[in-house]
Amino acid sequence: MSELQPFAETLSSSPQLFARLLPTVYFDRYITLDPPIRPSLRSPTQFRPCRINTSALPNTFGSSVVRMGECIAVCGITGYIIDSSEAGPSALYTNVDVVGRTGPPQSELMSMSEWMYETALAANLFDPAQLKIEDTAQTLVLQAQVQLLSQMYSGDVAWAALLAALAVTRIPKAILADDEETLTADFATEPVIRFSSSETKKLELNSENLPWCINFGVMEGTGLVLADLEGRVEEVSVQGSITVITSAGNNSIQNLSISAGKSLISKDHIRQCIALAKQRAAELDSILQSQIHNGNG
Amino acid sequence: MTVQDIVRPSAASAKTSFLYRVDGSASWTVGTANVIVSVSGPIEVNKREELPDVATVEIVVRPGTGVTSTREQFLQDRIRKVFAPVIVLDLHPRTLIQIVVQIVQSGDTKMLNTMTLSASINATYMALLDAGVPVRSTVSATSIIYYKTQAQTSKAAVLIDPTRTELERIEKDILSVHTVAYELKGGKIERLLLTESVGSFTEDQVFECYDSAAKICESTNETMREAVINGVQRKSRWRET
Repeated sequence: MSELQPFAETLSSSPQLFARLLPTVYFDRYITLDPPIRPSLRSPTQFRPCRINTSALPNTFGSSVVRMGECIAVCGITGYIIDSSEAGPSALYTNVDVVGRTGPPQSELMSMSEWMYETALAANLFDPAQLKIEDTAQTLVLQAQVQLLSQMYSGDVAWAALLAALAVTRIPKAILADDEETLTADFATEPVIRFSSSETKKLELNSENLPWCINFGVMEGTGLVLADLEGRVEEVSVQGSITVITSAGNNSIQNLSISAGKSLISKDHIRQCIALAKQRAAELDSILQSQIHNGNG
Repeated sequence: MTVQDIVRPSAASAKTSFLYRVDGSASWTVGTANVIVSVSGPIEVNKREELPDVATVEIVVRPGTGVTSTREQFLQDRIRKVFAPVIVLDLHPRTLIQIVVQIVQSGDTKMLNTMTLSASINATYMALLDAGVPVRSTVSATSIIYYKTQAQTSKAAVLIDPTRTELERIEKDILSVHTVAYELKGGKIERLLLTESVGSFTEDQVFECYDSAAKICESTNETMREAVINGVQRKSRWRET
C-alpha cells in the first residue's frame, strides 16, 4: 500500500491536464508574460523548425517528407495516362489523408483536400505541356498523395510536402511498344505506352521560388500577431487567422485567407503577416535547395 | 481606378419566410447565383454534439446538382468561420442551431466558388434574422474579380458580383478572385470577417479590393434592410384590420 500523500500534492495536477481542461487560461499565463512567450517557448513571430527530406519513397516520380514542429506530412507523386481529349482543367490531382484512418474522413480533412486541389490549380506550378506523351494523343496526369503522419496536422505542412515532392519529380521517358496496341477514345489504335525505368526528365517548375503556405494568428483584444500556429491550445486560444501563400523574390501573393473570428484584423496586421511570410518563404526555399543538393536530389 | 469608379448598385435581391417547417428561411439572388438557406434553432441537440456552455452550430451545404463533395465541405467550413463569432452562442447553451444551405444555382464557373460563397453568406445571415436567432451585428459579403483586358494597360479590369456568362467570357484572363465578408453595425463597416483571395495579386491590389468590398457591402446591407422591412410589414398585415 503506497504512502498517504500530502494533501496539497493530491490537489495539484500536471501542466498537461491544465492545458487540456482550460487551454485558453493556460495560453494566457504564457502570453501575458513580459516579453510574451508561447507554451511551445517560441516567441510570437518565431516559426517552427522545418526539416525536409526528398526522394525517400520508392516507386514514385517524386516524394518528400516534411516536418514542421510536431506536424509531419509525406507526399508521393505518381501518374497515370489518359487521353488528351479527356484531360480536365488540372494536370495535378491531390489527395490528403491521415495515416491509419478508419471510417469516413473528418470534415477538416475533406476541407483541406479541397483547398489543396483548388490552390494547386490556381498556383500554376508547372506547364502541363511537359506531361504530353510525344507522338500519341495521350498525356500523363500527376497524382499527389499526401499522408499526414502526426496527430496534429495543418494545411501548410501538407502543402509544403507537395511542393518539395514536385521540386524533385522526374517524369520517366515514355517508350512506345512495337509489339502491342491499344484502342484510343475515338476507336483508332495506338501503340501501348511503357515507361523507361532508367531515363527520366526533371519536371520543370515555373519558378525557383516556390509559393509556400504560411499561417498566422491574431489575438482578440491585444491584436498580437503569432506566426505559425500549432496545436490545440493555440488553435482554441487564437481564433483570428491569416493564411498567406506567397513566394520570395517578387511582390506578388498567390493566396490570402483571413478569418477574423472575434479579433479585429487591420491592414497593419495583414502587412506584417505578408512581410513575415515572404521571409519565411525565402527560408523554406533555401532549406529545400540545400536538402536537394546535399541529399540524393 | 479609384474606389468610386468601380462601385455599382448591388444587383442582389432577397426573399424571406417562405419555408414552413423551419424557423427561418431566406433566398439570396445575385448575378446568376441563387441560394436558399433554412435555419432552425435553438432546437434540441443530440447528446453527442451537446456543448455545456454554448449552442452547437450545424451547417450543411447541398449542391444544386450532383452529390456532395469536398467542395461543399470547404463552403461549410468558411460559412462556419463567418457565423460562429457572430451568433450569440452563449445565450442558448445545450441547444442546436441548424443551418441548411441549398445551392439552387451556383453562379460560378466549374473552377470557381466565389459567387456561391458570397451568396451563401448573405442568404445565411438573412435566414438567421428570419429565424430570430440572436446575432451581434450585420454580415454581408461580395465577390470581386480582377482580370486582364485586351488593352495593354497596367491596371486590371474589375467585375463585381458577376453573372456566370460574364465569368465565362473572361475566364481565361482572370488574375485574381476575391470573396470578402464584412461585419457592419448601424449600416457602417465595423470589421473584416472573412476573405478568400486566390490568384496572383499584390498587397496594394488586395487592400484596394477590401476597400471596394467595404463600399459594396454597405450597399448590400441596404438591400438586406429593405428585405427585412418588407418581411416585417408582410407579417404585420393582420394588424391593419
